[in-house]
Amino acid sequence: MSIAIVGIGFLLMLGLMFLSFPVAVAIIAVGAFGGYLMYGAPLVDMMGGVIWSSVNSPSILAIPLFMLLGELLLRGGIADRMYDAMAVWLARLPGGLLHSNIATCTLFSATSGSSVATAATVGTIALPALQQYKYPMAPALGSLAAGGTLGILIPPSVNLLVYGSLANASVGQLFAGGIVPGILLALSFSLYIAIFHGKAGAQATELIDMPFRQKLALGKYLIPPFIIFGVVMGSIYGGLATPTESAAIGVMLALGFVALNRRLSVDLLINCSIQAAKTSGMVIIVLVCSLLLNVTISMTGAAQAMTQWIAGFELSQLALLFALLVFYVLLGTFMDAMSMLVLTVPIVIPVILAAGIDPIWFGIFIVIMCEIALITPPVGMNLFVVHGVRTDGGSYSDVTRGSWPYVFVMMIFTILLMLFPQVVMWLPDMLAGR
Amino acid sequence: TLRVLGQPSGSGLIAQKKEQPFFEKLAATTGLDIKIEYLPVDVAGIPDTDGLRVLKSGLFDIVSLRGPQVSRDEPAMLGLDLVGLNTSFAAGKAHIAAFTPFVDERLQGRFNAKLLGVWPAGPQVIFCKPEVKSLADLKGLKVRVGDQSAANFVAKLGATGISMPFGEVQQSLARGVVDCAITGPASANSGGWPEATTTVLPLALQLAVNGYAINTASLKKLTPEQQAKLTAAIGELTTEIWAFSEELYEDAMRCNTGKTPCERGVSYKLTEATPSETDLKAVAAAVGDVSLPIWAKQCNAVAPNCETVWRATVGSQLGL
Amino acid sequence: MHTYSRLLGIVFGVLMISLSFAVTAETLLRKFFSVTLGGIDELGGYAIAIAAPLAFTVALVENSHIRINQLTALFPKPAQAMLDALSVLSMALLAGYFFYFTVDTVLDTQEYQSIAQTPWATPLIYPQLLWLIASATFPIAALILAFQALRLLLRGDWRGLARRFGPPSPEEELKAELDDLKKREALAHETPAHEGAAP
Ligand code: NA
Ligand code: NA
Repeated sequence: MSIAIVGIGFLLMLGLMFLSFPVAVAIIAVGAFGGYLMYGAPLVDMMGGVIWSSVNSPSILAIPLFMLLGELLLRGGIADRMYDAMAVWLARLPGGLLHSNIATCTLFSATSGSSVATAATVGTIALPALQQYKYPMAPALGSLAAGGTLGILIPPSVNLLVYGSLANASVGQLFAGGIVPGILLALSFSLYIAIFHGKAGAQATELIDMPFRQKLALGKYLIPPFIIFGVVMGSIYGGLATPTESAAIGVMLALGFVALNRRLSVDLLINCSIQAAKTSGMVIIVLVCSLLLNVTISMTGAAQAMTQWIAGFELSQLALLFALLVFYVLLGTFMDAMSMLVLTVPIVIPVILAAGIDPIWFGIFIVIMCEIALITPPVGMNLFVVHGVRTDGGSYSDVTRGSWPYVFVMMIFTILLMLFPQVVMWLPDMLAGR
Repeated sequence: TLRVLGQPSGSGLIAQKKEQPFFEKLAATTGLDIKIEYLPVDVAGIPDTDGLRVLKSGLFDIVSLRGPQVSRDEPAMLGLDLVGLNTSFAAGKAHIAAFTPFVDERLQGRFNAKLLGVWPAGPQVIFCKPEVKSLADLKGLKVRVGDQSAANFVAKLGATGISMPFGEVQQSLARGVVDCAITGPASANSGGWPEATTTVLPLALQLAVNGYAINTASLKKLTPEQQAKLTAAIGELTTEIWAFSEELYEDAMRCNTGKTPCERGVSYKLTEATPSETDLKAVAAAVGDVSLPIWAKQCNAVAPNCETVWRATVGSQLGL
Repeated sequence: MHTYSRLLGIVFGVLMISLSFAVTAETLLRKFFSVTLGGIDELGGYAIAIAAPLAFTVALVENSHIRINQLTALFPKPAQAMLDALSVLSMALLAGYFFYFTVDTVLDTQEYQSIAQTPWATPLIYPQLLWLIASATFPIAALILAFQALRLLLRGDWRGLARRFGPPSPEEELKAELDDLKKREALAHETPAHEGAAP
């Protein structure tokens, strides 16, 4: 019975979302109104306490700090030069600048918590060069959209922070869990490019033939992002700071680099603050609303009923994960990645725990599902972003065509992670002294 | 229907083996004609600090109160478990029994709730990564603490009190963000703390007191006979938990230090430091020196007779 | 309206940057001198509790709360505009709802004289009052916007609605980004350190 009620609520919510009501409103309409109908005023009365305790929390604090860090790097001009440096070093590979797209996304991901920011930044910087050297449009756009998704897998990651607070999992462990799969996934993207687009970029001889000395000189632009990633992650794992504290250290460091770059100004700080407020606001409000909805859902006992229902199938861990993979890929085609995360995690976590799956591993799994959601049409934020960066007015289907192969790369990669969960777990385990 | 808000689902064996089964079977065991819905507080998604507010609103009829958390709204709760007060189960039982009537009176007056039973999660002891032999060795170390009373205590020892979420503690110990951390041995065992520490200093700073309370309106809906049955059943549960908690503590201490039998945890090889007389005295003295004065000020602010009652009931047992 | 959101954005930035500074100082002091200022984590919790509602408001005024408009993009323009107006109104309801329960919680805190269970033992009413003030910015902005939307709706000005409250097209957003990039490029060329930078 309770599953049916939750099902109706869920459909209602999707209906509101597709009528273009704000996602937060759709969630709260079902959560609060449904809760009021079933449990009366006392249920809605306690929501103020939930709002307070969910915003007054260290893992939420890390969200705006990492957003601010990314903004400072972008608007302080540090991100721009990374691409130039990557380009001259990687142009020689089969697939040329497409590898620079992936590599720059990887490096930028290591300082940015958001995939959309990563795709937007690297896309803005890369497309002019790609057009200049006459790269085929679909693969170029695809590599940017897909590369951008790494932003939430490679720490810092806003989605991992949100998952951590929903699943009560250690953010430090989650961040550690994202590093190895993030790098391997980036390499898988490059492997795909080398095999299927190896001929692209042969016209960029100017880059390939650049004197070594000049290439080396450009390399210095890679130093700031490396240092920031090193310090932010190093301070977590070197015993200096908690993840939230490391975000604050990252902000200070980025301010330092922007100052060294002679770009520090009140205007820049204000601009970064407003941008960070905007992006943090839209993430946190959805998170808070879903925490409120979660109260209503759990009161109905739906999560427990769901756990029992799924347990009834006696699926093996692998079969359960396959089922979830299919479910998430389908859900992700039409749902925004963050909304998908906040809506499903509270219900899926008890199922996962009952099946004996490690919540840290599952955090990485679900973030890869979010990455897939970002590049599957019709609703895929990274697709919109990358399409929007184009200045040549080409068709939207170029982006989707270029991105599809990466969906398959990610699905195969996820299946490999299911078979070899140690790939995710060894770093967090090692850091925990296991 | 009676809705019960329980301890967090991951909080350990007391909730898992005693509390949850008790409430799920309550109707059958007491023969009461009521339906019980039990929901752990973390599953419900309700902040555990809001336990008393939720109880008052009537969203839940019975709440398994988390002492340190709900003392935010009712400081009298903290008087049951000041640092240094309950250094053993026996001492704890006497002190808690003496002060419970006052806490009950406070809950009835402010939160329309009746306190049905109070029980300990178990002694809170110190786990350290560097080898420590006594409290004196904590000087200059960074210690993760659970509440303000413990923070004040470690500050007095010259250590730095740091608060952080339970989930981050294990890794922070492993990486040296903190040197020591305080919790019950069973929680430490299930959180894998012994993997990241070398020593346990078994000085019981607190007992981590929790309790059951029922909304008075919900209670009145029952017939006097039903009320008596329910109250008696929860009283029995509380007594059982006292014994179980002691059993768990001893088992977890054995597990953590590689002794046998280790029945309910993972076996590790921690060194167990033997508390010296000086340390035992230092912990006992903490009541009068640190925890009482600070707490009394807070409690008196909302209940003018708070300290007087405490001194008359608990304090007299300690000679304070 | 944008002045309002700009102002709140600045408060947000000041909070986050000064907090970053304090946290960095605390972390370094703790690690290298075993000194602690104490309570920075608690302060951080209050800072984000205050900053979050400000961020909600900024996102609202800047029209960037998450909406899914792939399906409605196929609707006739007036229907889209109608939905845009309804979205704004629904956001005002959400803001009012949040604010109502914020007030409720703060009143409870006042009644119980709640004290944070932290080393500082902060009376919760102080941070929660600031939280309440920050939270008030959200329904205020939402009401003004809802009023504007309603006026446009009653006038049947669906072009105006689409322009003001319609989902921002990726083209617009990225035009802004590209402009920013051009500005940075220009700055980069002024800075001698960047001479010889490639393509
Ligand atoms: Na990242
Ligand atoms: Na999608």
